[in-house]
Amino acid sequence: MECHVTAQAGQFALDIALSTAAEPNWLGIIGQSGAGKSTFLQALAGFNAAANVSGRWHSRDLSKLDNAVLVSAQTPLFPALSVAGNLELVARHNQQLDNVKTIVALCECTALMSRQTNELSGGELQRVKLARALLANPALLLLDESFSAMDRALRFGILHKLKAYLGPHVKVIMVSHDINDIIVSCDHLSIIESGHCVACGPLSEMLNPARGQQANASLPLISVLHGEIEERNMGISRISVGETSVKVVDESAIPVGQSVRLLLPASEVTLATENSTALHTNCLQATVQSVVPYSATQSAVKIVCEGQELTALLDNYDSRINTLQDGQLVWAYFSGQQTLA
Amino acid sequence: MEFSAIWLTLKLAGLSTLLLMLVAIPVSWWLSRWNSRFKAVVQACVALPLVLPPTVLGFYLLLAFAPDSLIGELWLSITGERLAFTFEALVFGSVIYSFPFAVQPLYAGFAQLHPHYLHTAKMLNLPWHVRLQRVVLPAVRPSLLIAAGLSFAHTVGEFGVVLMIGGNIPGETRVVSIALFDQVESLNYGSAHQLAAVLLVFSLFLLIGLYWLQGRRRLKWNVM
Repeated sequence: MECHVTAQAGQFALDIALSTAAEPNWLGIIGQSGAGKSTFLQALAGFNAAANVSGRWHSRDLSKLDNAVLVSAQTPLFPALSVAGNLELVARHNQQLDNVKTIVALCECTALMSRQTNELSGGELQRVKLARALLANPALLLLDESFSAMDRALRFGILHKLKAYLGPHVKVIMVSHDINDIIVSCDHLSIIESGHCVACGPLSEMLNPARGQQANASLPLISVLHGEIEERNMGISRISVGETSVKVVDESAIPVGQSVRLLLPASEVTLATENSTALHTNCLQATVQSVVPYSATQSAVKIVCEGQELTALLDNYDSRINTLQDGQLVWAYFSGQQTLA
Repeated sequence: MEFSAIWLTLKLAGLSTLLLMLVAIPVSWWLSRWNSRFKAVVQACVALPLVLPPTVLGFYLLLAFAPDSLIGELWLSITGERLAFTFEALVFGSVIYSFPFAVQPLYAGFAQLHPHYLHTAKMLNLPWHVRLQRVVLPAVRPSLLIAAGLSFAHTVGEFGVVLMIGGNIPGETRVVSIALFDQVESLNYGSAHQLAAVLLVFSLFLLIGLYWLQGRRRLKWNVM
C-alpha cells in the first residue's frame, strides 16, 4: 500500500506518506489531538477540494476513489429526515435497499428507526451514521472516532460484526484515541505527529518491536493473543489458546465458537520461573525469547506461548532479570479482567 | 369598496413573489458561496432598493421602459405593446423593488447551512436534485417562507414606484395604495378609511405570521 496526502488547512500543513510492504485490510491511525488525523481522512473522503491524494491500495487508485465514505463528527445526519428517512434515502440511491435490515441490525439501530435525528444520544447518533455510511456501499470506509460515545461492550460487539460483514473487500482506515479499538480490529497501525506519518507497519510489530528496535513511546505495550471461545458461563468465557485455555470476564456478544483477540497489557503479566501456586486465574507455560530494555527502569521480556508472542514488563533493579536465559521455561500469570474482542 | 384594486394588488404581489423566488433562490445561493473582493459591490446593488427613495427607482424604470429605450423597444418588438403604464411594467418594477427582501433572508439561510451537510450528501452519492430537495431546501425552509412573505407584503405596500411607472389605470395599474391616494385627493375619506384599514390589518397579520414562524424554530440544526 502506498498513500500520499497533502493538504493545507489554514496555518496547518499536512503531508502524510504511508507505505506498507503488505496490503492492510484495516489500518489504524493514532496521534495526538491536532496531529492531522481528521484532515487526512477528510481529504481521502473528498471533503477538501484543495487536498492532493495519490497512491494505491490493493488494485485501487486512491486518487480516483469515488466511494470513500467517512463517518465522523463532520458527517451530520440530515435533520429534515428521520433516522429511517436518512437510511432509506442513502440506500435507495446506492441500490442497497435489500441490505437495510441487515445493516440496521448490525449497527444496533433497530429501535432507533422512528426517531428524529435531534432526539438521539451521542452513541445512537454514531451508530446511525455508521449504518448510513455502510448503505452508501463504500469501497473505503473511513472511521474517525466513530465509536467514542459507545460503551466498550457495545463498541467491541459492533466492531466484531462490522469486520465480519465487510470481509476483505472493503478497506478500512480507523482513527481512534483508544488504542484498544485499534488493537481489536486493525492489522496495521500508523502514528501521525504534526501532519506527518512517523511510523507505519503491521500492528504486532508496532506493538512489540523486534530486538534492537526502540518501542514507540506513544504506544502501550500490549500483547494480542488469538484464541477461540469454547464456552461462556455467567459472563465468563473460556478461550482456547492452542492446547491450553484461559478464562476471561466477557461482556461481548461474540458467539461461542468464534475466534477472538485477547488484549493483554504487558504490565498485567506476572512471570514466574517455577510453576508456583500463585492465586491467579490464568497461567500459561512459555519460553523466554528475549529481554529488551523498555525504559530507564523497566525491561520487556518477550515470551512465546503456544506459538504466540507475549510481553511482560520487569523492573530493572530486580537482579533476577539477568538470570533469564533465552529458551528458558517460564510461567505467565494474569487475571481474568482482560479485554476481549 | 374597490374590489378590483384589491384583486389587482393581490395578483401583482402573487406574481412578483413567484418570480422573485425563482430568481432570488439561485442568486442568494451563489452569493452565499461566492468569495471575491467585488462581493460588496454586488451586495450593495442588491440592497440598493432598501435605501433609495422609491421615486428614484421609479424614475429610472420609467426611462428604461419608455418605447425609445432598449428594454422598452425590445418589449415592443416581442409583444407588440408598449411597456410603461402596464401591469407587466408593475411586475418588473416590483421584482426589482422587492429583490433585497427576498435575497437577504435566503442569503442568511444559505450562509448558515454548514458545508459539512453538502459534503456528506455528495459523499453518500446523492444526486444534485436529491441534495437540493432533501438537504438544502428543508434547511432553509423558514428562510424561504420569510423571503416569500416579506416580498409579498412589501409589494402590497408599494406606492412610489407604481405611481411613477404605472399611473392610475383601473384594472391595469390602479393598486390599493394608488386607489387610497386617489380617494384622499378626492376627499372621499370613507372609502380611504376602508382601503387603509384593509392594508393595515393585512400587513399586520402577515408580519405576525412571519415573526411567529421565525420564533418557532421548525428545524434544529446540529453540526454533530
